Amino acid sequence: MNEHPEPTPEVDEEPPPLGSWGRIYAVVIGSLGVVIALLIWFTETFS
Amino acid sequence: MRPLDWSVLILATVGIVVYGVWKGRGDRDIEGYLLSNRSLPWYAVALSVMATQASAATFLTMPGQAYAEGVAWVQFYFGLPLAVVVLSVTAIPLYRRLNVYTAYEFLEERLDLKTRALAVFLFLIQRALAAGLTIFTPALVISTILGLDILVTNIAVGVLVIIYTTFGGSRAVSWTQFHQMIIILFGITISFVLVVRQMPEHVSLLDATRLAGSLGRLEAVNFSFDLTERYTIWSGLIGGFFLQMAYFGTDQSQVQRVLNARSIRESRLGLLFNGLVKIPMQFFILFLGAMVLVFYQFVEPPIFFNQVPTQAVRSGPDAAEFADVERRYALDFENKRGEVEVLLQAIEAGDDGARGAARERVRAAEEQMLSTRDEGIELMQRIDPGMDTNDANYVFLGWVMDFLPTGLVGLILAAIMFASMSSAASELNALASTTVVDIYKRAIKPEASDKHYLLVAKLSTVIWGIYAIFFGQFLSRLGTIVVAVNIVGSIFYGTVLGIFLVAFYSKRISGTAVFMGALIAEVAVIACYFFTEISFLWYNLVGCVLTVLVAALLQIFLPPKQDRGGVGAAA
Repeated sequence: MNEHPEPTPEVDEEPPPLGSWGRIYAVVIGSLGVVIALLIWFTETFS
Repeated sequence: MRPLDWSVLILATVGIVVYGVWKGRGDRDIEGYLLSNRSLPWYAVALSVMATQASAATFLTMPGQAYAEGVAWVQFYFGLPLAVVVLSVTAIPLYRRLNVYTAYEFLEERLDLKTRALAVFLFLIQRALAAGLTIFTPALVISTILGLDILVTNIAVGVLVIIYTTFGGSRAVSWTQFHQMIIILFGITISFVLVVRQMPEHVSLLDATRLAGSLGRLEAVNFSFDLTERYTIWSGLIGGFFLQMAYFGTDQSQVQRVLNARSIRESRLGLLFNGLVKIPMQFFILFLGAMVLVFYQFVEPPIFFNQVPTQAVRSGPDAAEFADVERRYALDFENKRGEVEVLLQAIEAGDDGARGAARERVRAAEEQMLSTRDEGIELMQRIDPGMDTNDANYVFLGWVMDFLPTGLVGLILAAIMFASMSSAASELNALASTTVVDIYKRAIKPEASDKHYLLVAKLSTVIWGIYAIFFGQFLSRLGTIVVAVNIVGSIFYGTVLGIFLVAFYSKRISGTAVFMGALIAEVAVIACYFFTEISFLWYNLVGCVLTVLVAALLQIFLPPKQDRGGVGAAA
């Protein structure tokens, strides 16, 4: 067990599912917007 | 509880322990024991992260909270998707490239030893308190429901976790969490289906939803700017963002789950998956609680869901007075039920005027029921003045015990135990990792064999586990202090996040400035807790911003930071 392990050099990894990380981040943040919008609609419709 | 339920419960819990020990049997070095040799696929990381965050509160407190007050708690999670995106961009690649075992190693690389020690100290205080609570909460509820001594359930839950966490290490923790989470999700789904099916025939899911809304339980989003309100969209998005950043990015119990992944890609995907599904899942659980409330509009609920004080008063000197309260409570319920039927007809007819009037009558009838209930609770307090008058944790389990078919009761109890065990396993694993890597290896015995550190890691897991059981038992004597312990996380998280943000993004601020900034910020947060009414979610923002600002200001008067080399700024 190294106390100060050597940093691992960057390696080529498999690309993310949608082709880029930017798209995945956009999906996650976009889904937050959609969920909040749905919850606002839910609150206004049923309360 | 019936024999089939006992069989399901025992089979499931013993099965998961055996599986955990079997799964971790091959790990004979410290990297395997603490990080599964960094081998997990993203889906295992995703459910492991989810199971770590899920605790008994997922099953017990959340539905009970929705039953009593509504679904506003969902806003607590609004900052989570933003936090996991920021962490995927910054912290994950950094931790992975540095090959660290714990998040706190990174702090010494970037800042200095004393700042690392401070973060370790804050983590150990907070997680050690939480570990006791994680085991204690479901143990208390299950002991009450099953009529067992709290010592028995506390030890049972604790020992099961200690066994597979100690023998199986991090691999056992992750893979048992994977299966535990599947059972937990199944338990929640089947409970939802059954509570809807158990409604009267003329009440559809849509009717039930409208009824829950009319009863004021479906206000999911609150735009109030009042800082003292616990859950608003703003406290969730801003305070929650800082809280979740601290939790997923600096709390070793979560960082360790992510470091188990086989690559940066798998770590990121596991974390981001939680950003995608966490809010809908938590809303679903809260909605389940609201449906239990609707169910109890048609079936009389007990005066108090915790049956221990109820039975005590029934067999005590105030039994006759309590019987009178119960009789009036039943009449109040029948009256309310009639009003609920009128409200339902108004809802189905789409008559807004009649609906508004009926809703007011239902709420008045509910107030009457609550008032009679309070009389019953006062009688219970005559026997036990220190009793917890909040029975929210018993609502869901009370419904499970009374209305679910044989076999499923055992399964839901197993799911509740799994929610607690999965969370406690991550905590013990993280406490052991931090003890070995950040304390034992760093300060006590720097040069020893891998085998030696592996032994110390296992020993630490056992010691922290025993401590958690004893602390849980101690909590059972303290009662209301449990509430304070719940807020401890937010008291420390902001400051720790501030330390990490400086380490991530500033090459100019020295360890001494951050250390002093963190101490000052922590004093300010504690002052907020004692002297203001600000909701606890905002503590995270206050602690984080103050740590960064004070450190930046102090740096003006301190010698410039020496280049520690080796580590670039976050990607």
